[in-house]
Amino acid sequence: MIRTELVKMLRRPRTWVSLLLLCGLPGLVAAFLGVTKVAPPAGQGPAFLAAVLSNGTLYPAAALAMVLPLFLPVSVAVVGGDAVAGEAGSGMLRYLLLRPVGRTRLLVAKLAALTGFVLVAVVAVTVSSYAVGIAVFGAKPASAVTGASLVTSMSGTGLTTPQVLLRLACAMLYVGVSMLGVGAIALFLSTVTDSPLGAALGALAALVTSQILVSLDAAASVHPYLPTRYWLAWIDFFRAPVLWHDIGRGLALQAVYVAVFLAAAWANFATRDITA
Amino acid sequence: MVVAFVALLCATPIVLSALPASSSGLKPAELVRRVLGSGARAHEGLIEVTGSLGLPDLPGLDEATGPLHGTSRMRSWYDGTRRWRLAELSTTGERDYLSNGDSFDIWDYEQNQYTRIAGHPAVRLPNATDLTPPALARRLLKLVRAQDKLTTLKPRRVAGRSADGLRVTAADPDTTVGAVDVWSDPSTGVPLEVRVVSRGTARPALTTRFLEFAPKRPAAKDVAPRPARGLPRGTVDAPDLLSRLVTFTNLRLPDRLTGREALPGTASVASIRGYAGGFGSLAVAPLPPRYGQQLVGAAQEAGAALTPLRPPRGRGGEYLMLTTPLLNAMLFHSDAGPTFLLVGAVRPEVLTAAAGELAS
Repeated sequence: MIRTELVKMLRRPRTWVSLLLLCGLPGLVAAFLGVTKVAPPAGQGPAFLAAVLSNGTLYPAAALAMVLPLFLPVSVAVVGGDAVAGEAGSGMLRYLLLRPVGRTRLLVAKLAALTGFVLVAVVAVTVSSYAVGIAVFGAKPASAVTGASLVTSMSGTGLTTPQVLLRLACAMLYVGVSMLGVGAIALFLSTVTDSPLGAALGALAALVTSQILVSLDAAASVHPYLPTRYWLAWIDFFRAPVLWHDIGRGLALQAVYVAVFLAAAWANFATRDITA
Repeated sequence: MVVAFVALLCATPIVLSALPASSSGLKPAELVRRVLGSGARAHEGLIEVTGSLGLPDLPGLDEATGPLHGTSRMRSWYDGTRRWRLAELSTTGERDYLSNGDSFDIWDYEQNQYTRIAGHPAVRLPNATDLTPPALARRLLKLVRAQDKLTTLKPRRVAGRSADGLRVTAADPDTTVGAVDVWSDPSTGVPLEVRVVSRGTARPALTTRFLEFAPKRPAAKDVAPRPARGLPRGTVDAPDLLSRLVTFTNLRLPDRLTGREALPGTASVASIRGYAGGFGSLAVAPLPPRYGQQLVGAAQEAGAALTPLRPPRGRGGEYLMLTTPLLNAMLFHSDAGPTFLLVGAVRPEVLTAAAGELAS
């Protein structure tokens, strides 16, 4: 069942168009930066973008910073929102459940497919932007840095190639886990409505609300519980020493969101009358 | 079952925050002494500063005014008064202040610049290093006068630890400071949280607190990390605008202003002076003409209006007042020529009186 859902996800043109768009934005930005060599001013633009001009190894970090606020959550919300509501909307859900397939098993398979999409998306962005970064900006040690170090951490210490790659892998996994919370919200909404668009928009509305509240000092008391509060904590992998405070809280918060919304999705889907 | 599961998850943080806190039972004066004596205690942690002062962006002063508005975070590794590191964190970079014995360095990731400060500047602008709970608490508690009221507060948990609470209620009617609340670690005396409440309000205008705190000696590689070889490096004599201004101005300021005595120890920089008055202390700096005009222009853009000042004696001038719930600043351009910056946690009337004395 899980394999079937994964294959179905990979065969959909929409999956590949989403991936193309996700990888295309960093590619477009790299092209402009490579031609003009104009870095964003200090404190502006996505993290690490100014640093990549002298070494492309860090470009995957800049690419994650570019797609994380909007592109990645939109694509995950679309896939998550379509998981159950898409089947119901096309009239296939009733027939799907006529097979000897339990509703819980179907939901688990949909979740696995969604997790697979998230992983494929973050790996695609990371790998493609690494290749683009090396091709456009080169992989020589940053002009300022000599010796065994390749680039500087945010704290001014040197990072060797294995250290950079390890931290990039950790950042990629963290961003992936952060997206699972969005996916769980979309999956829950997908069990509530028969409209995939409605479910995706509902998940995005939750994220936009969260982003607005995160930027509002008056809402500081609820910040630790907002799904987007710790999204940017992956940047802390590039400090010396690594700052684990927000990373740990971000992982725990996403685990809670996934657990709560999956439980709600299961409770709703398992007891719902399937008419479509 | 699902509802119970969700309720359990939601209740967990509430239960954790409601864990009881214990007190060491010291009297307020003893708490003050313990905090003031904690300067040598090693510790490390993560700090959050929340300010609502809302000072406008003024050219050259953003480093001093920036952390006073909004929420910012810092990491601190403290191994005594001469060996410490403070990292000011942002989502796009980091600015590190590193003190290692006789040397003082600043690393700025976004500027990609490692700067050594030569010598010890006699004066400097306040910056993030002054806003850690230990630094701010010790600085404020040194200003406490006999007439200020000391009371204990209920102990509470800060950074997961029990903390003794102390409140200082300012008696001076001239100051905008209403009260200073300090919660300190019972075992070391290191302040864990400081709240500064302006007069007539209940909400703190400035809060700095540890989110994580460990009363241990930080690792040497964390206090003084080895910078990457080949970083762009520079050496400067003056770390900020105020310390640079010292070399451009030589106007001698009075030894007494609005009844406040000038602070001692600033003989080498007589052009910039602090005037002691407990929480109602103020600082005065004459500005070079061109920079003074820039500041006046920026303040006018921020909405401040020029007001004439005509003291009963001597020449007058015109001034701009920038007011916040806690800190007030005045740019005073005297008819005699110089422009002065006056800053303090005092009522605007005190600054106006000080400007009048400067003009005469």
